Amino acid sequence: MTVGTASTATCKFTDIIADPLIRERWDKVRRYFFLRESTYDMTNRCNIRCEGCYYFTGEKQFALENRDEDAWRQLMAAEKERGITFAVLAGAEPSLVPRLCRICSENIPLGAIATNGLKAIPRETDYRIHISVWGSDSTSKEIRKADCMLARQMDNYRDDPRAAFVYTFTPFNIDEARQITDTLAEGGQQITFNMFSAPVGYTGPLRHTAESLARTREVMAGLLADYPQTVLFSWYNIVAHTSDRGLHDLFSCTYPRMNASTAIGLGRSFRQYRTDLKWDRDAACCVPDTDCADCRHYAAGSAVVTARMYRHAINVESFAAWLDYVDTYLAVWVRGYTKGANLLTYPVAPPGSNQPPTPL
Amino acid sequence: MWYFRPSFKKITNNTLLAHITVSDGSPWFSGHFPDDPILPGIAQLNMAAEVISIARQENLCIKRLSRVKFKKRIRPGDRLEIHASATEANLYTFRITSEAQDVCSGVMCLAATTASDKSIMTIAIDQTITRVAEIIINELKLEDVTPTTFNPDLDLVDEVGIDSMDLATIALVIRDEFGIRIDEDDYPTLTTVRIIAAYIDQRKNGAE
Repeated sequence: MTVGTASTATCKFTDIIADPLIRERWDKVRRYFFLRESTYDMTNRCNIRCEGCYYFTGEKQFALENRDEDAWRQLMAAEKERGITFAVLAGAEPSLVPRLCRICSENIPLGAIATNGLKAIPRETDYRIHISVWGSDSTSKEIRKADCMLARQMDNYRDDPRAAFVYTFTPFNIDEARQITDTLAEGGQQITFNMFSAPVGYTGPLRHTAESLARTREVMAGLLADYPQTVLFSWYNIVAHTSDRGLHDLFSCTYPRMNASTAIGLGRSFRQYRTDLKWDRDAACCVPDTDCADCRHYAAGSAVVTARMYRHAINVESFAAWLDYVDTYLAVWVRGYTKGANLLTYPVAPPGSNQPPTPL
Repeated sequence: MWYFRPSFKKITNNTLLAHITVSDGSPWFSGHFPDDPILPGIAQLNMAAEVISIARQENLCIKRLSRVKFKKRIRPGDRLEIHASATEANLYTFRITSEAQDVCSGVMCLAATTASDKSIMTIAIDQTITRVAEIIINELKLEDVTPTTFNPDLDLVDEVGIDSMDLATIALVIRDEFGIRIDEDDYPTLTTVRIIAAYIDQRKNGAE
């Protein structure tokens, strides 16, 4: 590949994709441009209670649960009708309502489920399953009040191609990530990385600092280099998610909460349904109630960075970084999509950030 | 454009060489002549002037012509080369060739378009509309529609079904071809082919 040292020159797009490796990856990812997501809280119950949980913050936890299967069927049919092609099933714990999950997958075949992994979701629901990991078992015990979490999660999803473990970095579990990754690698599982992003008004200790971001960056880079078959991440993911600046500051968030336009894209199509099957545009994003200035959430980046193709198409290097990010996003979220080798093996700065690449 | 977009092989300060394929679907052929399509001379001259305009990234129109000769017929699908060299500011000798044979040659004097060139500008916008429609058809792989039958006032989101990633891709092709930048913040306003074409022409003319 003709990627060299950092360049700020703007190239023609046709020249950028003339590189065979870039072209191959571009053709691979653009087939998924049809994906249009919305998210759905499936139940207001959970079998554990974690410090800093996104669900049990703000108003949505008080929404009444709608367990009427016909109502869910009608909602999903209507969602499909308005063009939604990807369903993200989240709060509080979707595994507690497996029949509703299945109804969703029957209507919208592509999707992902965020779960703590303590209760297996039946295979009939063929969505990507994101299993949350917040550190070693002792850390999980402290923060999530659950015993032997990783072993139970791995048992539930052994040899299950739907599974992707999502390790959320907090300032207190950074050095535990290597052991977790190693264990998952031995078990043939895959892992991707998330960053704790403080909910609005959160004053607890899990909010990242400049020091914890730098240390996280270092650990992520080491794991990406040492476990390329296990870690679903790229160098540009590291740049985007561990910058001192949040995702909105770096890329301008496209979710309705921060995007007034309803003309096109997420601002037009994205909805975040609560368990009563209602939604509120003012609160609509993948992680409602997160403090937008502190948001480095993996789900947010998957939409926000991905949507910013145009600004990355300035030279081969920036576009390769963006392609690595999109390739990672698709591998993490879409069943059956296989991640390619990262095109870049070093970090580059986001376009227009006016700062050199963050050292790793 | 009613021909496929030019592929520039050589551009210097004073000379250029571009390759072009004349579109089978060009409206010039429909009446000129029935069952015997030939590209009219005026279309050949306009093509040469437009290629120079694109190379210079300026809106130019023909002010004067001299020593123009037409030597060979141009049929639908013909591959052409356009050679032009400036002998002085805005004065070009040009030659159109096909399969190493001269098709047309002469001298043309060009000038920047002004408000008084309204009719020419209208033609330019119509050509931009057709080209934008062609880009959208190609990028979205639309069927059962051609650049000339594409309704430029269709709402691209509601009626054609494009999304932000489609629009970003189209914006990149437009950036390449017209040499303009489309701000991401402007995407929501680019709702029809006609609006995109007007946006392009505004940007090309330096209006922000």
